[in-house]
Parts: sequence; C-alpha cells; structure tokens
Amino acid sequence: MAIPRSAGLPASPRRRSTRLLSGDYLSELGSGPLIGDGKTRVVVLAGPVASGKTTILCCLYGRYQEGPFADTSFAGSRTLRALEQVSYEGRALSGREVPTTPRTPRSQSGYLHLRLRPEASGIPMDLLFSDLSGEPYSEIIDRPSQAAYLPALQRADSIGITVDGSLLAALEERHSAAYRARILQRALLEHGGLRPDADVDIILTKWDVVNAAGTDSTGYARALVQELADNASETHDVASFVTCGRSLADGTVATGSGLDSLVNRWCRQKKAPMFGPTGQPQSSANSTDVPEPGAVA
Amino acid sequence: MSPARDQRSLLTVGLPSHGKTTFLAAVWYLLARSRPESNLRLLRMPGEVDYLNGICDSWLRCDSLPHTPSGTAYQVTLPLQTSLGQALDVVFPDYSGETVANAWALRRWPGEFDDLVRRASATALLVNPDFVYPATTIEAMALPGDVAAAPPDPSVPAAPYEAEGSPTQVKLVDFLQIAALRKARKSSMPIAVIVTAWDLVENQGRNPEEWFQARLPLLHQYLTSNSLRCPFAVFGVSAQGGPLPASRDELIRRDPVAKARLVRGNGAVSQDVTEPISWLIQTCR
Repeated sequence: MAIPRSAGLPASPRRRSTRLLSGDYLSELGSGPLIGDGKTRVVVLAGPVASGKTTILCCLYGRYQEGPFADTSFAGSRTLRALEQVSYEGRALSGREVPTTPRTPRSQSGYLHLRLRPEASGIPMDLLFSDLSGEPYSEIIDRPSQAAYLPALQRADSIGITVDGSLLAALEERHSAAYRARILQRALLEHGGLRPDADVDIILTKWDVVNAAGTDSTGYARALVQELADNASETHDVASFVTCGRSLADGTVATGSGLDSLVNRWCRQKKAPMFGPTGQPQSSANSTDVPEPGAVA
Repeated sequence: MSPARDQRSLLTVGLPSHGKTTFLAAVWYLLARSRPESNLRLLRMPGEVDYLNGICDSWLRCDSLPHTPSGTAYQVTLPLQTSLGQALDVVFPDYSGETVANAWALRRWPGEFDDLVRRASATALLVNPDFVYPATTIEAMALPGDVAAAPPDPSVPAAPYEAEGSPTQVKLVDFLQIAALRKARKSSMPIAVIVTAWDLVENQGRNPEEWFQARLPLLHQYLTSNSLRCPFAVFGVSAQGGPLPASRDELIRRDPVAKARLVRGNGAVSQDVTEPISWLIQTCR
C-alpha cells in the first residue's frame, strides 16, 4: 500500500520489506560488475596464517575513517559491513585491551572492496582485496601445485606476498620463516597461473617487532625482502614494502607505516604495457632495493 | 484548472534522535507564516495538516519533540515556490530514524520507504553532533605505560560484535550508497547535510563545513569523491535555538522566527532554516 500523499496521515508500512545489499564480502560472482568497468584492480594478499594480510586491510580502512590518506580519498565500499566486522577487535568498543584481527575463517573466500579516488587523477579506482585464510597458503608451501586451484591468483592484478616480520625477529623462527617465504613465492610464481602483467609486491609486515629486535633482525629482514624481490624481478614488475599495520612494540615505528606506499602502488595508473608482444618484460622499471619503512622501491 | 506542477520528492533521513522531526517543524512554521524574506513560499495550505500542527505545537512550546516511533511514517506534500519563481510540489516523508539504523543492521527497509528512495530527487541528511559516534581504536584509548595501572592483557576476549555499535559515519555512507544503487533513475542527487542542534558545537571555532570534515571525515570524503553525481552542501541548523530543557525558559520568550537559526557551510548566519530545502530544489534536476 502506498503511503497516503495528503499531509498529516500516518502510514504504517505493510508491504514486504526490501532486502538490501548485504555489505558482506563480495563473491566471485558479485565482484563481476566492478571488475568489468576497467578501473578495478584485484589485489591478492598471499601469506601464511597470522602473517598480517587482514590487518593491513583493517588498518587501511581505519586510516580513511580519520581522513584522506596517501593522497587518496575514500569514495565508497560495497563491503562496509565486512570491513566493520574485521576491524571490530581493534576498536575500544570490543572490550579488548590489545587490538587484534580475528583469524580469517577457512570458509571465507570473497573480496573486500574499497573505492579510492586519487587526488592526482580524480578518477576513482576500485580495489578488490582477496582476503583468504592463510591456511591455503600454508598448504601451498607443502604442495606448490595447489596454487593452481586458487582462482583469485589468476585474475589478480597485484599479488602481495606477506612476510611475517615477527617471525624474522625471533632467532629460533627466522630461518624457517624465510625458507617458507621463498617456497611460497616460487609456488605462486611457478604454479599460480599469474598473469604476466601482474605486479608482485613483497610486503614485510610487523616492522615494529623487527625494529625493536635490533639491527641483526632488521638486516636479516631486509636481506630476505631484497632476495624475494630479486627473484621475481625477471618476470614481473616488483616492488617491496616495509609495513607496520598496528604498532604494538616500543612505539618507535608509527602505526600505519608503509601503507601509504602500498596504496600508491595499487592506485597508480600503468602508463605502458609492461610486456611486449613476445611476452618478455619491456625495459624494466623495477628497482628492488629494499626501502625504508613506508617507501616503495 | 491549474497546470500540473513539477513534483520533487525529498528524502529527509537521519539516524534516530538526529532531529528530523524538529527540523521539519521549524520549516513548516516558517512556511505557514508566509514571511516575504523566506527562500521558500507555501503556495497553498494543504488539505490536512494535523501531523504538522502537532509537531509544530511541540516546537513552539519548546518541548523536546517525541521520537518518531519505529515502523511509522508520515508523508506531507507541500506546494512550494522558490525565490527564483520555481513552483513545485515537494514531498517530505518523515520516517522513523530506525529505518536508517535497520538498513545498516538488518539490511532491510520497508517497501514503502524503498519507493521513496527510488523516486527521490534530493536528500536532506540530518546529523546531530550529540549522537555522532566515532570509531575509537584501542590504541587511541590506551594510557601511557607509566600511567596505566597494569599492562594491557591480550587474553581479554572481545564482546560479541553488534552492528549497532558501528560508527555513525559508516552507517550514513552505507545508507547513501544503498540509496544510490536503489534509485530508479541514475540522475544527479543533491545532498544537503544538515548539522542539527548547531548551537551545541558553534563555540568550537569551526564553521559547519569544517566541523563536518573534522567529525565525519569518511562521509565527507565519500561526498567529495562523488560530488559530480551527488553535489552536496553543509548547513548548521539550530531549530530550537538552544539546548532543551536547559534553555527552555529563555527560548520560550523568543519570537519563534528569531529562535531558529541557520549557519551556512562557510559560517554565514541566516534566520531562514528553509535554505537547505531551497538549495536542494534549485540543485536537483
């Protein structure tokens, strides 16, 4: 029944209610219209459990809650409900005393979405983040051929391999963590079916912990990131990032360090095809020097 | 028989207790009084105005207007003329704020409200500074180590997530996005952000535009980023003229026309609280 059009008449809604966009993760199907418009970038963050993939996204979303960030402005999101839920345990309202990112369940297979508007171009960019649980990536380390079965890898415009800095800062863990990072990278590059024009980013997370552990740890971490970047630079456009989503250590590394460079990388306009007709890289603009925190190589 | 006039449907929305009904009461009072200096003129008294009389009575008595009960809606159609001579019927729906709150939490809204959204030409979005809840992080609440009684305990569990606790600006962005998706015509949709109870924050040294950018930065970015499709303007409105019930004795002595105040985005002051409506009418196509 339509609401009476004359003044002063109350209208009690009697018609069935209308279901609205869920605001939850976008499925492969649901992300379709965004992907088709030519200004969408699919970003896959790949790394083992607790390596900081979802925390990067939570912290990035949190930055826009405070204002424009990295010369970009928030322009919308189809997954606000999901972003709120994954950010919840970093909020005072949750009652937690230490900010936490809940572990992404294995059943989670969708995309988180942010539409950002770079100040320079003014053209909004849709970023679709594959926020998979770390478990499949842990399995890929044991069975590299499994990388072929992650569909997000094949449609990715950008693969961000997350390397857990807190493991590199721990003497008893670092060699194993570095070994597993190398295996994961090779598995993704050799079995993941990546597009030749996909960017490969090496993202060192939890830099606050590395930094607090001293120069031995920072040197070790930088050397590993350099090595991983060098390994991929022949076949892909590579950059490396040193990040700290949430600074929990001694406070000398700022919360959000490095995220601005990541945003700039994801939102940049690719000027020229990076691959020639033969599929070989064009004159490589790659620079794989490991940057200072926040800088992009 | 008079020629059919253009009709514009105005969506007046806000979360519960954000001042939609109080604003409508003040607008109606000015329209009914037919002041020549007003930006808007009521061309003809509608056939039934009992609802408007009721809310206007409360406003004139400086009573806090009753919260619009959840699940109820009123709709008024007013024949108006702008100061530029544009004559049109403007439909004002007055829906409970729970409609917006439930859209966020339950991902549903009433079918009738959906009809209004789909045909809306413009939106007045009301925000009360007293009910703006930010996303406060744990880091922001943490005391310095030498002041805290004990180090934070990582084993303290999280309370269950409830959508109602999400920041105000997120709920409003979500609403505007959904409204844009639901609209039948993908035409331009101007948005007037009306900061109600402006008297509560006007001594903070910011004009309405600056206040809005500082307190609702995500929403401000969203509107700025989409301003080609959805041009927006910010207004501060003090419909009651001061806080209630604290200032009631003083406010009730004032001429009602003088007690309501509007502050434009840049800080310029006016007594005409109908300005946001005339801006919306002139901006929508």
